[in-house]
Order: sequence, then structure tokens, then C-alpha cells
Amino acid sequence: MQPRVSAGTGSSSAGTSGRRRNPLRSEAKWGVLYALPALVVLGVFVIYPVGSIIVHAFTRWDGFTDPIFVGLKNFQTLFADQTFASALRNNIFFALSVPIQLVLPLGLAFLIHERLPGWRFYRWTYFLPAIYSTVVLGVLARLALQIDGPLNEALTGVGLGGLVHDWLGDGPTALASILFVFVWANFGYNVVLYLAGMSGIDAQLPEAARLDGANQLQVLRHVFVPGLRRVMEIVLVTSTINAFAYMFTYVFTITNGGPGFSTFVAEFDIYNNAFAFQKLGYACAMGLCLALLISFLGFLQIRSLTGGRE
Amino acid sequence: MGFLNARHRFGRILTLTATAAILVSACTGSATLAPSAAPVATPAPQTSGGASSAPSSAAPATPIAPATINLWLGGILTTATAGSPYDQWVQHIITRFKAANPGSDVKITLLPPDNGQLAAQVQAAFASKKVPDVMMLYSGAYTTTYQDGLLPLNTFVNATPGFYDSMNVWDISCANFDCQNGAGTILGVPVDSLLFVQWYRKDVLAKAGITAPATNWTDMIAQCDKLVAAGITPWVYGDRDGYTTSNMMTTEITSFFQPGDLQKVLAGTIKYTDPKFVDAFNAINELNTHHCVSPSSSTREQLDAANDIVTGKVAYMEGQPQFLPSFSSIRSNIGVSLIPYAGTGPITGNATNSGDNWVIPKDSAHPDLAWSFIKIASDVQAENEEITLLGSPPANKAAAANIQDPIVSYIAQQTLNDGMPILDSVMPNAAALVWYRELQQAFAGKVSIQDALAAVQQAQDQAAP
Repeated sequence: MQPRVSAGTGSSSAGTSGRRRNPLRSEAKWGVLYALPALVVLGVFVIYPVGSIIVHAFTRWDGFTDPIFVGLKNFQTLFADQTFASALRNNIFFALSVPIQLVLPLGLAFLIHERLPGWRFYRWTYFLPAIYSTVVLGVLARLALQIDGPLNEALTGVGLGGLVHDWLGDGPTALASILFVFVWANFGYNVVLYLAGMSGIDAQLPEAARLDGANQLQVLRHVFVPGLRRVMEIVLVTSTINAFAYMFTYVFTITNGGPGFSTFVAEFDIYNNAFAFQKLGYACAMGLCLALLISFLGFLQIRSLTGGRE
Repeated sequence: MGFLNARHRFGRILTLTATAAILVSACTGSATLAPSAAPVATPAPQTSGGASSAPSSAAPATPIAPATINLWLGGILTTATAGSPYDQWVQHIITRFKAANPGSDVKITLLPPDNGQLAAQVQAAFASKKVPDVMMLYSGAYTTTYQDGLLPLNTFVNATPGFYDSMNVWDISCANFDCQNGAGTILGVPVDSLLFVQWYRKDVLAKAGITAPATNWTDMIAQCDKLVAAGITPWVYGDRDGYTTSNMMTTEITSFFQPGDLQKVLAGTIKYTDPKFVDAFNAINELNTHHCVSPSSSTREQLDAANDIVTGKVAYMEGQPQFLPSFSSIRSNIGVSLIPYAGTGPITGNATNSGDNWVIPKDSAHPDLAWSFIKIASDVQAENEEITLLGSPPANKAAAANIQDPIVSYIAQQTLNDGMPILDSVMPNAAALVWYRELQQAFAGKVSIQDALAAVQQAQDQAAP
């Protein structure tokens, strides 16, 4: 019978411990070692906080004293919380801007890609808001939109005094103002994403389409749009996530949630409950529900875009 | 297939990342479990330290190691921007502190003037244990809500002969709003007495033929009509954050309450939807219906709106005593009186309490230096300067007895006629922050007062232990 050579008990040789090194196991060790920093970061900044949030979502906790387990009470309160419902409605309102964020930057990116006269200027100016801190944009917007701010002064100056309005003092216009700044801030970034995608499309394709008689709109629709499908997916998903999860800075700096509660968004409500109202347990429950909602929306979007294909 | 897998993975990663981001943003600071509930050391009940009304603010017998202390300015000092009278007052105290504690210094941080933002910053500091050494906070629930993070000051107070007796208006700076003559848990040292008053321009009233400010609500509304007829906006009303309507409500409700009603409101046996609150608001809302305030009143910032009285655009303004320094240029034309009461309740006193207090967080790195700072900030010299620079009736008894300014003296006299505490000083902090926003909306006509007050009640119920 032929002696079986196994990985761990191979023929011994002088100077070894009698074991042959398994290259796969060795590789796995190194793999773990290399992944360790990332795993530590993930553990400290994602897994542990998420676990902590899930635990605290079922407690009453003010941040000072020991959390007290309250079962599902936070969630019961949350489902009857009119402020949170109103805040979520505002998030949905912002999410309705996603088609605008999808289409307008595509149009501009196409014009820049086609070397419209002055395209460098447009590329620079439209990207500018994307490199500013959101705080700066918010503060600028608040100053510009104040009742005695430059916008109203400009309207008066050009004889349109009838259009002067307390933009941030009136709930609907305050919300619309935040939406405008949100779209403006993300516009340039999306343009750049589209430009990057367009540069990856074979230049012969639009050229061939033109030779076949396609006009610019047809080239955009039938050549670039299909080629930019993956970029559009990114813009769609990230814009939706932004509308639900990254509105805090805009609201905080432009209206501070006011007037009243009219520009509250879910994040701002979570912040208020956690830090102003000292209801950290409740805020965790809110955060958990919001995260699940965003995950669900993200899942739906990805699913619809991929048609459920692997 | 590989492409689709990659795309699918990308979607999952995005979703996971977003989930994590939301959760982290929702609960930053909660990554560690709450600190163990070490009971706050309640000092043994002791009587206040001696009868002397002149505590020493000199350097202690045992030298304190020099250090730079972190000072956070909340309360009225959120407006202590460079060059302002508030800043001058603080700088004078710091100069004396440095002289008394050679080698030590003070690093100042201004807290946000918005009550909600201030509360959030302070809460985050306590939760993360990254606290300053000493802080000024609004008194009452704006302080006691952080009781578990604050150092009880009884040991310091008792070790400073005469200190407790040298100060007025202690109660809402203690646990349960009751200092028990020094035996209760002292959480803060009062700085001033607060009372919302009616500032008026004598010259602007005179343009409408009015020679004296209104002393009752009917008279107030009649004067409004007269001023409107003369083309003058009667009241400046900066209610963007709801603070003006809140101040008016906390003042007016006094005249609708029975003795003991405030305690019933805090206990939940009188609801905020009670007709007394609704009636008080309806009276205030007459300022709207009689065009006493400009249409932009609900969206203007309070401090910004106050400029209108300085520039003579309006006749009246509600405000705290500390507006006085900003009226220096119109001093001969400015007057002060009580805000007229609309109700006829049996309470005849005013809504008043300590406005601000000094506190030391439990995790302060230099509590002894912090106490040294508080002693200097609370002594006669500092509190005399408080009168001249801030216009505040001081908490220090000796300084209060020596007020020369007739306006500050008038306000100080009115604070002695103590009817009940100012409601938003003692209601749960979470309810107060809802109270401001809801009242703002109600005065702006965006929600009914019943709905607004129901929301406040809900907030208080949820804040209940």
C-alpha cells in the first residue's frame, strides 16, 4: 500500500519539526493579519456602535444613568410620534428631487463632454459647491435667504419687490430653500461622476451614431445613457441615501429645524432627541428604524435596477 | 455574471455603509454603555456657613496648583462676543482670577445662543466626559437636567464662610429646586435675578400722545391701537425661535394661576391644554389681531429685532434686564415697566427667579480652581460690575443693596415681589424646547394653540421618569 502523504504528516526531513508547511494556511494567516487593521476599524466604528445602538434602542437612557430596559416601548412611541412622521415626510420630499439630480447633471455633463464653448468654466463653476463644506453652503444660503438678505434686496433692486418673501420664515419656502441648496450642492459632484463615466465610453460609438444621422439628443439617449447605466445607478442610490441620511447639516445651518418643526428631517429629530432632549434610548430606536428604512429603499432600488439578477 | 455580482455587492456595500452611517450619526457617544450609576455624593446636611455676608474671594490658604481652566459660557453669556459688555465683565473676572491664582489662565468657549443647540452641546460633553472646568448655564431645569454630571457644590460652599448667606435666589440652582437653606444639594451658584420686563421708548410713545406706559392689558391694547393709528409699530417682537412668545406666556400665566398651580403643571395634574394657558395665549395673540406687531415678527430673530427699539422704529419691547447695555445710546429715552397682566388671578407677584448660575462638572479637571473662579465671579466687586456692564439685578445681596442705576433698581425691586418661578426655567428641559417651537408656530398662526399646548404636554409626559 502506497503510503499516504498528508499535508500535515509529510515525510520528515532533517532540520524540520516533521511537519510540512501548508501554504494555504500560511496564506490565510497573512490574510487575517493584513485584514486586521480594517477589521479593527470596522469593529470599533461599525459593528460595536451598531450593536450598542440595537441594545440601547430597547432602553430608556439619558446618557448619564444606567439604561433601563423598556422592551418595545420606544418603538410604540415612535410609531405615534407626529414629529418623526412629519420629519420623514420632509425626507421623502427631498428624495423626490432624485430624478432632478439624475437628469440635470447628465445634461450638463453631456454639454461639457461635447466641448460646449466655455466648457471648462462650466465644469469649474458647477463643481465648486461640491468642494465647499456643507456648513459653508448652509450658512451662505441662510445669509442669502434672510428676509433682509441679498436675495430680497436684489429682487427689490430690479423692481420685483412683489416677490420679496420671508423664505426661511415660512415653512413651505424654507423646505424648498433647503431642497434647492441640497440639489445645488450635489449637482457638481454628479456632473463629475457622469463625465468620468462618459470618458469611459468608446469615442467611436457616438461618432458612428452621428454618421448614421443621429442628432445630439439621440446620441445622448441611445449611446451615452446606456453606457452610463452603472453611473446612473450610483447617482440614484447615493442621492436617495443622501435625501434620507445626509440632510442634517443643511437643516441645522439653514433653518435649525424651524420655523416650528416644519423643516425637521429624521436625522435632525434623532439629534434633538439624543442630545437636546436627553432621550438617547429613544433616539437609538429612531436611528434603527431609519436605517432599516434606508436599507429597504436601497434594496428596492438595487433590485429594480438589476431586475433581481445576480 | 461577474459584473452583476460586483454591482450587487456594490449596492450592498452602499446600503451597509449608509446603515452604519445613520446609526453612528444617531448614537454617537452611545458606543459605550452608560457609566455605572455611581450615586451622586450628597453632602451631609449642614447649615450654611456662618452669618457673614462678605465671603472671601482671596486665594485659599492651601495654594492650588496653577492650570488653565476651561470656561464655557452659556446662559446670558452666550452673547459675550469680543468687545461686548458681557465679554468685558468676563474678562474683568478672569483678570482677577489670574491675579489670585498666579500661573493659572482661563480658556473661554462660547456656547450657542439657541437653547436646543446649547443643550445638545452640553449633553454631548457630559456623555463623553469631555467637560469644561466651570460653566455658566441657565438656572432651573437647564441646570438640574444635568444633575448626574454636576459636582454638588455644598462642600465648597460650606468651606467658604458666609458664602451661602451672601447670595439671593438660590432655590432653582439646587436639586428639586429647593436649597433647604443650604442643606439641599447645591448644583449651581446663582448669578442674577431674572424678570421679563417691558422696555419702552418715551419719545416714541409721546409721538402718539402717550405719556405713560400701559399698566394693564386693556390699556396695552388701547395704546397699540393708538400707536398704529399714528403710523408707529407698537411692539417689536422677534419670535423666530419662539422665545418672545414664551417670555410673554411665562409672564402672563402668572396672572391666570392660583397659588400652587405651577407645581400642579409640573406634576401633570394641570395640563398645558388647561384653559388658563389658552386664555393667557389668547390675550397675547391680541398683539397679532390688533396689529401691535409687524407681520415679520414670527420670523425675526429676537436680538436682531431688539435693534428696532434702539433705532426708534417701535415703542415697546419685551425683554430681560440684560438688554440695558444695548440701550446706552438712547438712555434718556428708554423706560422700563412690568409687562401688563391680562389675567386677574390671585397671584399678585411676578414670575421671577435666578436667570443664570455657575456650575462645576463632576469630571472637571480643576474643581478647586473652578471654585476659585466662581467665588471671584460672585463677590461684591464682580456683581457690582454686573449691574453696570450687564444691567442685571445681581444675586449677591451686598451688591443688590447698593444698586445706583434707577432702571436696574426698579427691576431688582420687582424681582423681590416673587409670585412664582418662570415656567420655562423649571419645566422639564425637553418640554421647554418643544414649548418654544410650538408657541412660535401658534403665534405665527400655523397651528392652533390647543394643538401646540397638547404637543408640549406630550413632551412633558414623555420626559417624565
